[in-house]
Amino acid sequence: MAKFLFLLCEYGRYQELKYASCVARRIAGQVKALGHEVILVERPSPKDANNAISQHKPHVVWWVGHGNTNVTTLERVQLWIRAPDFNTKILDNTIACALSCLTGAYLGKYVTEKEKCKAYLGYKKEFWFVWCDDPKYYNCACQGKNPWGVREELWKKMVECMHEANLYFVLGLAKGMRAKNAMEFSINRFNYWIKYFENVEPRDDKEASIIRTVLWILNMDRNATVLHGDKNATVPVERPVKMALTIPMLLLAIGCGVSFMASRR
Amino acid sequence: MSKEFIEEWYRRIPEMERDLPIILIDGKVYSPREVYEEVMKGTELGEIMQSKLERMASPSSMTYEDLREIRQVAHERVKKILEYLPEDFSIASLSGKIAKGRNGIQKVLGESAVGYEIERILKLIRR
Repeated sequence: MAKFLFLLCEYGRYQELKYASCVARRIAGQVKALGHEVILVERPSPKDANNAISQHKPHVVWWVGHGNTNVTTLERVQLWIRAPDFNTKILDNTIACALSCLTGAYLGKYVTEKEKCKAYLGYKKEFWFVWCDDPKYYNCACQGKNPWGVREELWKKMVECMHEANLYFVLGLAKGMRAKNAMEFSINRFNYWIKYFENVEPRDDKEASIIRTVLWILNMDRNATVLHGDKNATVPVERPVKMALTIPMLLLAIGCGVSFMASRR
Repeated sequence: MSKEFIEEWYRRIPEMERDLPIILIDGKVYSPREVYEEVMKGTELGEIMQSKLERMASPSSMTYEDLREIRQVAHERVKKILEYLPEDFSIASLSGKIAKGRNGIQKVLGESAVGYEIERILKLIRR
């Protein structure tokens, strides 16, 4: 089985990173249920992240943090990796899932080509998401509450969907997919949400306008997804025993045992 | 040309799309609801609309001019959708940017939004 490390940042400039981290906690639960070891590092500084990676040697690392083409950061926008000269070996021997703007344009390419990161899923453009404008409307990540009167069950889906689609790459790996198939799994989750919101009947023009904004963002984020490195990279997965083969083999063994005992009497 | 074609086409357009621009005639945009009403009334404009929609429903008869017009219609759709967006609505990015209100959101999502609306128009025309 594999080890999955989640770097759950919350604060960037506000609590905007919490929107992704609370979805990551839910997906981590699903990864664990598949039998993998899950390590959660809460609000990590770069040192916390480096220590956790050195200690646990994870197969997969997921994080959320602000980024740019050659830089990614963690809690409170603290620099974690910068290509080509800062901490670039930290992702060696891992498959990385970076929910961090623009790092798919250069950083991901660098760590997979110049260092030993096996595969890197990132975004070649900015990754946008819906939120509650944290400085004004505090702490509504992963909740239905919102100041615009959008139905709560709908708003919860709006604030979660982009992050969840990204995290489907991690879930795909946990299910035993190769990196390229896990990326397809993530893209398909974006498509699932696009179809879902296209078929919602809005309550009024305001809600219709917000739904449409979500669709534009999903479309943009999906199209910015990029995978670098070994497209066939996988993590160790325990295959379920095939019952269809096991049961006849068991019956055959019992049958042999019975006839052996009978022949001895 | 039969009215049934437009009746059937209009029936399949989702409610939230019925008042968004779909077609450009002589520099003016019209929504599916307006197309439907003109065709049902049997006006000359309705005939022009129907003939254009029937032609554009087939990808092989789409002209360069049609595609240019669809892009213009997509821009109009984005404008109309944003009219109803709450002025204090904002979105955030993982590069630390925040886009606020209609203008801010149009600035960052504009091209992607237009691209999405072009795809949407083509899907609706070909329904």
